[in-house]
Amino acid sequence: MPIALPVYELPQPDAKTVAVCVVVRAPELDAQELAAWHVLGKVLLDGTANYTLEDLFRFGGQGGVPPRVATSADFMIVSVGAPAGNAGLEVALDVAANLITKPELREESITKWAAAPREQSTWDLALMPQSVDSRQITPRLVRDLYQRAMVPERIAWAAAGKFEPATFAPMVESSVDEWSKARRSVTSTPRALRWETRSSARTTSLELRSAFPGQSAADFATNLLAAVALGAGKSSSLYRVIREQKGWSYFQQAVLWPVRSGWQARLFTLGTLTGPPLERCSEIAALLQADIAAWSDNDMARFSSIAQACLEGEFIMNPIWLTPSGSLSGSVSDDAILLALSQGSLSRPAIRAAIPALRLDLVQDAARRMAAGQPFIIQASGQR
Amino acid sequence: MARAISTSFLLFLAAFALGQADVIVKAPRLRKTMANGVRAVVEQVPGRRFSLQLFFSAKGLDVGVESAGWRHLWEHLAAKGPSGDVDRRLESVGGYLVPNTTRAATRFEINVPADRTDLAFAVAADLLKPRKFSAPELTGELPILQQEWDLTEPDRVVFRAAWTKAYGAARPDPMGSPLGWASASPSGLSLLDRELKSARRVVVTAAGPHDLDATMAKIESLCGSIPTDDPVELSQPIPTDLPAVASSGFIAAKHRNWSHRESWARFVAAQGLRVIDRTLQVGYTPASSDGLILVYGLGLDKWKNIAAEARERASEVISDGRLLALRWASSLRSDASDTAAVNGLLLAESSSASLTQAVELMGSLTDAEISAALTEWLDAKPSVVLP
Repeated sequence: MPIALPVYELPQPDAKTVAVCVVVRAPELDAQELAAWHVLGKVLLDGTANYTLEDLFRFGGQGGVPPRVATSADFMIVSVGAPAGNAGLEVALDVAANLITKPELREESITKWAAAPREQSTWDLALMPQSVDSRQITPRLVRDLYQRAMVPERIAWAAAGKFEPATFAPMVESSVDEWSKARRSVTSTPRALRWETRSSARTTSLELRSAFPGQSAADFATNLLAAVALGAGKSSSLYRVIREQKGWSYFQQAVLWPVRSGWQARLFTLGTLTGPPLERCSEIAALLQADIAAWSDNDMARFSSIAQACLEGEFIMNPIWLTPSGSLSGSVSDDAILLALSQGSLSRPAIRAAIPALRLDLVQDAARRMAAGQPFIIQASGQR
Repeated sequence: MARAISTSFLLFLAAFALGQADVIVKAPRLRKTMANGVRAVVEQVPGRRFSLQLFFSAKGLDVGVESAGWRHLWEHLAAKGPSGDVDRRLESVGGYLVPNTTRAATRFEINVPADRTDLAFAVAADLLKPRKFSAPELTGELPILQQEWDLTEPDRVVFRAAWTKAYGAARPDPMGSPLGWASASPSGLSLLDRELKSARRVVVTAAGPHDLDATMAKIESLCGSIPTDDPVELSQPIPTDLPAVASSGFIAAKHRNWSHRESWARFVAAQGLRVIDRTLQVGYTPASSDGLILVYGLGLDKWKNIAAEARERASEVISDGRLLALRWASSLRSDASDTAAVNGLLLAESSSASLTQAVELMGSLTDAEISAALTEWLDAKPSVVLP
């Protein structure tokens, strides 16, 4: 019996390239395992049974960019681009499938990446506050984690770009069916997670975090407009109120962040903090709530224009982040990632089509939930 | 009609030689220096976005890190526009403004959908108007600059150390310093505004899917009446409060100018090193002369091993370096905003170079030239700047 793999496709006849994306949902991870997860993401690109690092770089880069692997606490995302057409799709799938099913995981490669100290900026730390020191990571831990994480039920496959419709699923099946059947699912016993906290910092990121399902285009679009209004661009609430009026931050942004259960809306301010951080978070929440109440239909038109530009990957402070590497770019690769992350429920055209029907009061409600301010995440980092 | 004469003449000759004289091919790029001294470049880049960029050249202006910082403070204030509504207007159509200050120039990047070039020019006209700044405006901006200062990231520290080692005070860090910002006065900044907006310092670039002649005509209309005042002399401000920066986190090489083959060979070889160790990074900001190429990143800790492996695999480093360098250039050329930025940064330093020339030059490098450059890198030690 073939195993039913979640496979999604978005053929785009006008595209110049194709992209294959593989999203792996992370298993439950403690602090050390999360560090190993990030190392695993790096090590995958150092070579597979069929492709050396050189091959991956040259052969896999035919779509203009080399294969990429991004890791967050919730996902590992592999994306590979190739020239348009089914031949390109086959190439991209073969490279992606090799990275998932046949990585070499060489000891020296793991040791190298585990030993590499991660120089993280304040923004990196704000986005992924769970990142921890990887110097204690052993090859065995990384290999065990690979065995535990890379099981078919954790993996979704997606393709976007120019190729024949309904051809991707059979390709995936023929490429990884044997591997899928051979893989035994490894379930882990729930454990109390251990986290380290950081202190003694010069700069601080304050985050107001909330969650929303985002499983329909209309729900996602509503939250996108709310995020735009609160924290995308210099006409946003965070920029106008928190930076320009209060001088409390230099950098501020809203981020829509994918997690296993759906999406998080994350409102960040980065800067030097004077006074107790919890009080400052409460003040920010109150200021945002007051600003939301003053939004008008004229503002709605601006939110919509910015949201449309964000969906094209053409706005500089885009709140849609599919991976920790950066915001939505409008590439076919990101189309494939969005499709796989949302289990086929979201695409840029569908979200775009939902925007004109949105009402100001609904966007304000979504924004109020985002700015409600529970929980507050406070992350300190020392720089310079 | 001002036109890149040599390019269009060659295209004409080529068409004539092929017996296709009835096919008129327009040059993809136009350049013009106006009677008042304003310089402009417009270029075709396919896509949905139009990028109009204003550059205010810093050539000969920065006499220390503090005066570079004054340009940075001026950038913060001037970018709001005289009515304070620049961002709201642009964002209403899905556009945006990015201001930044580099060693070459202070730059206002206006990006809009390709069918809203009218708004881009209206905003540019506002940003070019003479400004006078008040004390409350200055003091209101200081906490924000202090926040920016506090958020200085590790990469920037490495860059600052490398530039200081390479050029000393001749090319000061453009961010400035807290004491330098605090020493700025409203009248001083208003004078700086006059100096930066003098026609001899203004460069305008545009890129996107647009009609080059029409865009150039609009730029002429935008800038044709900008006056050229007598130069303002900046005196050396109070001594620096910048801490001494020491870092061994780089190996750097001077990039002399855009027609210097050895400099581009160094750039290609540096790119190739990334294949030996993916944690290495290459930093380079386009500058027509006195630029800097940096190799930095986590791999430098193991530089001895990397250098040994790179010597063994020199032919791969060279061929992959070519590939990565050309990817870098083609990614810049495919984006309207990047194309306009590179054109402006070069022109702000009075260079007639272009990305196309850089690509052609890199493509013509021999393996021997890149190999020599690679040897220079591999013989160097961390914190060294190759002359």
